[in-house]
Amino acid sequence: MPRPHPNIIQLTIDGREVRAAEGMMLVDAAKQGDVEIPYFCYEPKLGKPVGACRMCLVEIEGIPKLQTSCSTPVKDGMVVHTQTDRVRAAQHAVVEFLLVNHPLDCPVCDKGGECPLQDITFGWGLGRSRFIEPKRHFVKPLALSPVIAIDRERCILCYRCVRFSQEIAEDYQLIFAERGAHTFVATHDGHPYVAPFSGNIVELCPVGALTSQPYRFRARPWEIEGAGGICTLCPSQCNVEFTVRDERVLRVLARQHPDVDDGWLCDKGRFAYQAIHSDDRVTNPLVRDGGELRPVSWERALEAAAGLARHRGHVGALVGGRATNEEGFLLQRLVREGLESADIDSGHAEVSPDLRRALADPGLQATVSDLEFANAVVVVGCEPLDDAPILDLRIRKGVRRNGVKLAVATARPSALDANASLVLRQEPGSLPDFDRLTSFTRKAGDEIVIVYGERIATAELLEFARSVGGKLLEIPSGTNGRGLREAGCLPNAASGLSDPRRAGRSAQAIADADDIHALYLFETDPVRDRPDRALWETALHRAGLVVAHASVLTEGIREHANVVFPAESQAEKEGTLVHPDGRVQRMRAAIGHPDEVRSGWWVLSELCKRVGLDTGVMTSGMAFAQLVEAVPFYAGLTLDELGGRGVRWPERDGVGDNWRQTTEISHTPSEPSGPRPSPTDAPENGALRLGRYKPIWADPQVEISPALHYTIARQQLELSPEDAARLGVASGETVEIAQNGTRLSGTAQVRSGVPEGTAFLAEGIASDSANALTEETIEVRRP
Amino acid sequence: MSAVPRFGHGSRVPGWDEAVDLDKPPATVPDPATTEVPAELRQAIEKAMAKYPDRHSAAIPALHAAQDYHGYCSPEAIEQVAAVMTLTPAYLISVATFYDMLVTEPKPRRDVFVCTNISCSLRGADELYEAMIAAAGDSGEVSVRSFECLGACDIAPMVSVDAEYVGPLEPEEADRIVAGDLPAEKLLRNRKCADPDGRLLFKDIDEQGLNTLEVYERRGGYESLKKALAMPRDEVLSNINDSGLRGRGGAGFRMGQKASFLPHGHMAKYLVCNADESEPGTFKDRELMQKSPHMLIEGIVIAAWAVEIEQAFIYIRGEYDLQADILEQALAEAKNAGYLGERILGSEHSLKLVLHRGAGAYICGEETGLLDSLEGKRGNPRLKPPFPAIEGLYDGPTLINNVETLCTVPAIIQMGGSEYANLGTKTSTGTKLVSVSGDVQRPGNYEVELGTSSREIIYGLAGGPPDGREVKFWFPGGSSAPVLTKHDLDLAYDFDTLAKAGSMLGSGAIIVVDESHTVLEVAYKLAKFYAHESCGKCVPCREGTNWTVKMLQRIASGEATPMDLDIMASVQTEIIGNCLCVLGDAMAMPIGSMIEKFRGELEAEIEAARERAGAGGLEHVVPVGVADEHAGPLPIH
Repeated sequence: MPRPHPNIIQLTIDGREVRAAEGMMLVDAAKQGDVEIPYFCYEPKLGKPVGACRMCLVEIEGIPKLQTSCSTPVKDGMVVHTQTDRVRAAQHAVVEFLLVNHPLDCPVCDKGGECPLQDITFGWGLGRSRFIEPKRHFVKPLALSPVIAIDRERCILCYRCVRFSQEIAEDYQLIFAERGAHTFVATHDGHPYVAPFSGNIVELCPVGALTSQPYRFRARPWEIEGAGGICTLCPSQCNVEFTVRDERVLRVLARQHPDVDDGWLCDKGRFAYQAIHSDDRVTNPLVRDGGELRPVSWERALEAAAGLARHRGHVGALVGGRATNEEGFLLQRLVREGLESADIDSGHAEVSPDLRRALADPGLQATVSDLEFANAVVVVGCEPLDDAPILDLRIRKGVRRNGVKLAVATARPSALDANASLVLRQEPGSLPDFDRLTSFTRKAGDEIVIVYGERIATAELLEFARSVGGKLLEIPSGTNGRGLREAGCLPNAASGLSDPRRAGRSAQAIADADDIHALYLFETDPVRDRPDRALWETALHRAGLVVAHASVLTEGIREHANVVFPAESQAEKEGTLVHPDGRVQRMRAAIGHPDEVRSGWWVLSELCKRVGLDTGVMTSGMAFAQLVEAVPFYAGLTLDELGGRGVRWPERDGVGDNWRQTTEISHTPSEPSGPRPSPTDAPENGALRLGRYKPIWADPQVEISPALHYTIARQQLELSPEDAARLGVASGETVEIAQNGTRLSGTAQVRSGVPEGTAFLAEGIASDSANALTEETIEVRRP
Repeated sequence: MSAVPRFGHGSRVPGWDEAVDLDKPPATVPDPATTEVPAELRQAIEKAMAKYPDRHSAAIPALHAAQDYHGYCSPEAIEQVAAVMTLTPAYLISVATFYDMLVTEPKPRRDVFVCTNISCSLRGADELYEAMIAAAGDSGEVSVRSFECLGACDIAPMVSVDAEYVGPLEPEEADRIVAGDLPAEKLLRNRKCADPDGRLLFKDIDEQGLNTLEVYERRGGYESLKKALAMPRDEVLSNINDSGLRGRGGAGFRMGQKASFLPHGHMAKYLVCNADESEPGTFKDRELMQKSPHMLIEGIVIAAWAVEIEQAFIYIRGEYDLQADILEQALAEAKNAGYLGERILGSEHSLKLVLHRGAGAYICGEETGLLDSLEGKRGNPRLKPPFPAIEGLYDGPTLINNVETLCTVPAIIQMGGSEYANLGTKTSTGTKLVSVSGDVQRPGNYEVELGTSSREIIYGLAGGPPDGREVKFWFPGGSSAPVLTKHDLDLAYDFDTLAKAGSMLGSGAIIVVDESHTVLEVAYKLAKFYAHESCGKCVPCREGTNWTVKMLQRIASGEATPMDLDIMASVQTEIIGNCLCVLGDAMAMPIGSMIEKFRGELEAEIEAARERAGAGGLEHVVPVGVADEHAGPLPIH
């Protein structure tokens, strides 16, 4: 569906001439003329207006009854009055009605001071009530979920939360029960409202009925400041606002960027801020001393890390997805120039440089909002809900509102299956049936967006995209996967995706290599984040020096690191990131560094100095300037230009020239790149083919955020009903998963969408993670 | 101690004080692999789903089936339906709790619904209800519930025993009724029409077997359809236009005009027959559907032909079980005879007609509430515009007409539109079925020519109030119409005259209240009804109706002063015109009219009530504390 391009029309509101896009709702158009019309239930993000609260009634000439301005599209020449006696009488009436059963407990209400009901009562109410009958009183607050409290007395039944659950997240768990004045927000049979996006309802609630458990009674609106930032917990890179009180982040709100997050956040982004102030966070430099990591001075830690110089040429570096472009850029300088090594990797797939460049072609890049207006969206080899949750909402929005046709081609059943017109299931690790996807997209229309996981970056995919004229949106494994790649954190690509002087080895090869004597782990723990846990344990054990930046001492760091630098949180970092769709976004520090935490760029620049490389970087901005210098297609980019909303480099003026300047656009590589496991034959002897996925909650930050403790689950074995019946396993039972002597324990979860013969296990989780398994098949038994 | 009951406990809101159980998993769409569904129930649900273009529409039939199977809509039943329909259980709970007939708490197998709405209570329903409660005892075998108007005011006071309507009843008969021994002569199914010699719709209405195709055809049935199918569409439409037929459901909008709003051409358009007859005092559609179902089917087929519609629905209220069964049978007969289905009577007209049973909600009689309900949602009215003629059922253009309106269509085709227009007055053409109930000697349905004097209907046909008592006031068009007094009895009964008199013809239901009843008791019944039936979507209606009930309770318990009448009147004005649909207005207009016309009497009642309550000066009427036990915030964990 093409994007709408409405005409601009003119109308009169309270005597002012207002210009607005035709079809815009009157209440929005009024804002453009500086006329404020009060409302509760209207929220354009939630879709069609419901007109339930009746607060926005206005008089329109030619229409006898008052009209709800939230549901009246503007027309040319319309004459509207919002200040007449009739309108005022209606507003007074609605406010009085709303307060009939509202407890007016503002002094003890968390919403007080930032409450639309308060504001509108003061601004548009009569200031008194004639209601003298007893109000309703109920037990409050009650738990609606582990993170949300509900106060049913305060609820004005504005429909926002239930519409979110029903029409945005589409989990349809939150509903209105009963009717009339008995109506209340409820779930089925006392089940909690647990869903990946549930926290949004707290932000939507226009009264104090839904409050966030972690934020309740922590601050008053006049004690807090809002600081814009970027969430770095997944590649969606949602724009957030940190609520800060006394240098502590107390809350995370959406900062509404229509081209990034559409104003929504997932619960991980909303509640994992608690990790920032967790006692479990590393806030001091640590050095291993007598077998144990002990807090030391910065000087000592840096000195210990400078020992890397002794391993010149034999240093391997892994960059975690949360590193900024500046950190990535400085780190690859440290490794390549300072330590004369070529072995640096931030990726999770081996891709040839030519293919890499071809996939990054600015002309092929889709934007997030393209998902909403394309004719068809094809999701290949990724689960948006787990890998970049906000994109899941955007895809749903396109299907629901604009009739976008969706195809899902994944190994594991996807949350989007129910919305898809075509669902393909390939075997874990293999490529989808591109022929069927091609015929699907041909039927759907011209504008195609292909959303793919990093591991699907193949020549076949590129061929598919080119043949159907589709645009690409990659979901990288790491938050800043794209930025780090462009900054040069790949073994086979230096800054700007150019060919490095000397090609290095990929992460897997680094682990295998016996000539690597030191490892640099920048905000990543390969034992947790990479496949083949045993291999990495050996590699870390073998290395003479392991330097890490970390905020949580996960297993690999705790056991093997010699030096640990405390890593900054997303609320402390200064720097830039690149969104999967090419938007360069700026992170600003919202709070100061707690304890001994220092900036990542500073640590790297300091280390460079100590190994004999003077980068000249004294601020994060200087590192950015160097990065821009080194990446041709960023040419001329400044922090000012990025501003608060970021800039998509693929759509900047002159990008075509810049792009050609550095990278000869390659032709489709004729050879399929990278090894692809060929579909294995059905396993024998009752073994199951193993598929892996990383759940949305698999993150050390989540594990140290008390509010999210309920999300930490045991390993789950998802298997088909047929296999479950054959193995005699029922849902909820504990099972043992075995492979080559490795045993994991998990809970069986029978899912009808799982193909027979395949089972899925989670990786990236704290215990019993699937990365302990290296083979393609597993055996399942009851213990 | 206030007599105004606190809202919190013992009311119909079981969930308000309940927290969730944090140990339970989230209730997502049940996985069919782990949810077992009894084969019989699965079959019923799948059959229901097959009837509709969208599976959601089967929600109410599926829940009915689950309730029949499990006894009530238990969490387990809900999960089973959810698994078959691939919906979340919450979706179904939200639907189930909206409708009165779907019950989510354990209940006895047998149901007795006692109508306690205005017409029945004028004739002693409240005493009957108490007697029934006493007769049922706590044996746990029978559930006795008071219900809002069941659409059988001609046999008031009445009850529905497992969907069998019976009345009029005396409190003494309660034991017998609860035991299931229903007197045959009092069964609604055996009752003769009050006006068996009606001119058009009630012609031969009591003829034995008129509900069968055979008798209906013998009486000239489906001849109009043949005639219409032989005409071009435009001619059918212009006949309807010329007839001047105004909608018989309440709004009185011209059918021809409404039909002409629908876009032309072949597309997914729908016709919906509104058979959710729930306006208190109205029971005419019930009689039509029960006795002459083929007339309705014929009308629907003709109307669908006129506007090129190939899918139609009859939304019948869930309480009309007998009528729905009769219609199902008639539908099957009509389909067999080729009056429905593909290429009707060899013409190019095809029509699929589906009967959809509601589940007890007055608001579903509102056309957009009906559409939402038919789509399998809570019956909340929608914003207008867009009007259903442009964007209605499943977002397609939709023509919605009342049963009586559609039943009139065959007659119009038969006699010609302009001939029909000669009946009645110039702007209110034709005949109208009038349901007369309340304090009259011969309650029932009468077919009158519009423009007949109201006195003639109330006194001439229905016999006027018993024992020489006089009319105090009357509702001319269902309980939503502002009341008229004995001075208005000579008004001509037509749309415009009644509108001019400040009321409306509405659904054509006259409820007569004589001097033996107080204004307050009727006002209270009325307000309670609308508060109970408010869907809760928009603020003025939800809060305004409830506030009005509380004020009336306060008056009754002697806690009010005459000044409260001003507040009450002002609240009614604040409701009128500010709501999403007309339900709020439907309470505010009659209540407002009662305060205006009977202020003296209401003031006297306020004084009398205060005296009864031993209230002295004003200080005694200023209320009332709040329940202490729930006053403060409680910790969550």
